[in-house]
Amino acid sequence: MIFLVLAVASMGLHRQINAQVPPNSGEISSRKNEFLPNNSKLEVEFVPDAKSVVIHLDASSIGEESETGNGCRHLMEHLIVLGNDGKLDERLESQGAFLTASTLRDGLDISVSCKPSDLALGISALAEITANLNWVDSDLIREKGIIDQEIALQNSADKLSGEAWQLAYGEAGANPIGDPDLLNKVTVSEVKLLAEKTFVGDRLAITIAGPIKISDAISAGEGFLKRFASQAGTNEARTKQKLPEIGSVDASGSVRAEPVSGISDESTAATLAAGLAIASTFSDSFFIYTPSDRGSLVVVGSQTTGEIDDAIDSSDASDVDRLFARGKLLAKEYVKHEDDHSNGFWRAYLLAQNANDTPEVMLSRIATLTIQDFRKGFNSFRKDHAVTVDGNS
Amino acid sequence: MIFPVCFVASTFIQSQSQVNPGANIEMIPGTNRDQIDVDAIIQLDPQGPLDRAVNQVIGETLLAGTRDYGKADFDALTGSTGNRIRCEVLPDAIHIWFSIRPSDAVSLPNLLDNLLFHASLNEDDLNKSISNLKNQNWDYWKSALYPAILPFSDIRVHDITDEYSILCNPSRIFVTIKGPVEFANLPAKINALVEQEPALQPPRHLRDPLPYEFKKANSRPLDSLTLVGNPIQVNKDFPANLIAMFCLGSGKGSILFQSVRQKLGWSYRQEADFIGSCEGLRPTIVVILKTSHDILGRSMELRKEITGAINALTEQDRMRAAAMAEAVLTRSVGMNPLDSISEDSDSELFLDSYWRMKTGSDWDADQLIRQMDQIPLDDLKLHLLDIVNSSTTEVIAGS
Repeated sequence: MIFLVLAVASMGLHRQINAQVPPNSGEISSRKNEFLPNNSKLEVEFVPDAKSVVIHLDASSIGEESETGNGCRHLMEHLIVLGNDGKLDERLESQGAFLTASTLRDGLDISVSCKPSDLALGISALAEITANLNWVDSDLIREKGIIDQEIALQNSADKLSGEAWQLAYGEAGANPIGDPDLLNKVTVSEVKLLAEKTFVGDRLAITIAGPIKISDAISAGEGFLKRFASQAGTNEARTKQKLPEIGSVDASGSVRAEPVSGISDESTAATLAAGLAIASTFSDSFFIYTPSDRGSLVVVGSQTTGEIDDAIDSSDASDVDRLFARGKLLAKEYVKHEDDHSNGFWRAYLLAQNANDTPEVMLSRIATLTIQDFRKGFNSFRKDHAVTVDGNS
Repeated sequence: MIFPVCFVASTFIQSQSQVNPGANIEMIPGTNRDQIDVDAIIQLDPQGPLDRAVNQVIGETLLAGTRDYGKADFDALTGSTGNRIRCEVLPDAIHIWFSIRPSDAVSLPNLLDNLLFHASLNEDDLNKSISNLKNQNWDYWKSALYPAILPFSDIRVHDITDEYSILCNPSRIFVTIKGPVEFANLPAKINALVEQEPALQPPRHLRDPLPYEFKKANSRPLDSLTLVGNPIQVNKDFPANLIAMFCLGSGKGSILFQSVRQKLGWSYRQEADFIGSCEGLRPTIVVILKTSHDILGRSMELRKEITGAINALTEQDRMRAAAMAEAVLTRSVGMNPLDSISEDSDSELFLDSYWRMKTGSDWDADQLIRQMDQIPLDDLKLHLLDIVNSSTTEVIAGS
């Protein structure tokens, strides 16, 4: 775990740092990419000392917030993982395999971890999930109720960050976890339509990591991906609102947030380094970053109101300069950690959005960061530039 | 491969003339790693509410400073790995964990000695900790697992220093270190310092035998329903109880997921976890749900639903639980009912220390898996029913 004490790092909705020893934490000896004719992407990693094969299927969002309201993709996630008979999980678990699914700010992640000899089992589970669109109203009603329960569990960091996104991007920053009132209006046919638009070659990426033969994994991945039609589509970039913005929400603590572009942008690396450096200066900090080509947000927060004001607004130029080396190091470690410990998740999530987006790109931007870049990154978090959200409870 | 290194020192302590039994230190070689991970546990005795509050204050204050290190020193040493030092107080142990760079390994013996035996515990820091703990606002999950209200206002400074002197005893210390360290030198250096520490063992008795008072209301609109079972000993029956917990709460084919979430639609988060206690491991079932006007009625329905699901278990369910146990314990895939014992992210390292404290033996996942696999369906059902039937219900109502 990284920064873990000083910052709860998160890729976004549902994605908290894995609290267990990752199954695949060994040295990666080889990695291979494939780009299929239907524009889907495949990346395979041979991890010789891993104990499991981990498959991640990621689908980038279609920017559906304006069509169906936020939360429809989340509802779809709950429905697709039921499989053909609602028993997919039980069948997988009986063979020591485990399925997880997450709705993220700009995508959907479905993952199967299984024994190295069970790659075919994992791939067949993904095939079942992406082919199963046969839901009925009772399925929707049940899963809407469960999402309603899920929304109620959001913690202060989730709420503060969610409000920061809204302030930074307006409607395009709506929380993908969903709004219960909007979700109640979603129909089976709308979810099916969203699934049909989502599971197309252009939006899909799959990563397979584990102690497996590269050629076997590529063959299995290609066999799965080639069934999807190509359907080009562009996602509109989010439009940043006029900043600074100040808001409040029913939560404890406070956050500062700064909009950033895609991961290849140098200012993104500077903001990331500055955010992590700030989070390292006080004890109960948290840090949330969701990479996105559509426009993202770097969020630094404190569980104690006022702490973050001191950490940022009271810092003078020399304080900022002193944090430069630490920020750069933490940013590098953050990217490496997310890459090493997610068993391909990060790569799949980035690839699904843009074939050129990789952790290596992020690392190269961080490596060339200058102190001038860092100062800009730090100053962007000051109250007169950034989004500020304070908890009022 | 694990190389247990348990040092038995023969140093006589001046004041008590007792044998210093040495700390229990285990080294795990870790190749291809760029950090050294350290997990240390101080064993606690059975506690009443005041003792428990006192130990919470010690844990809260421990990292404020020691004889040779200030808070900033700890942060500098451990923060460079991104794994800054942390301390938590469990019902049966104080738990400290951190990582350092291999280049800082030379500091490790003195760092451990300071953390385990030389906390400053100055009055200002103690008062600050007491104030923090009085005002802390635990989240719904931690409140459900640890609902006791502790009497922080009744603590006097000498209660804390008295307790700390009792805890500063090498026989209470269990340390696991993993990383690219010089195994021949490091444990000897650690123990050379530990041997010099007094092994004070004054008689231990509960300062405050009063019953615990439990939290009844949440500040958020969330109810928690908790079934707390009798403590389970880690003995020959433990594998049957462990697979029972896998069956109950691990995976989406588990009893809780299928009944509470999918059938009743009550909650998004429901788990079956072991919680540590000085008397054993407590099986604990937690269900979090949006505030309902009939939480007590639901608590009865929950028992009925779980009992019905246990009675309907099949051989296929038993095999699923066994397969999940294998996946969780050998491949870290899925939910581990032992994970809630500690907040520690590196649960394998924590279990190495904790298991030695709890059982005197090394953690052996493979043996447990083999033993769990041998538990027949009828035995599994009996253990599950025993967990549920012996449990008491704790309800925290939302606002």
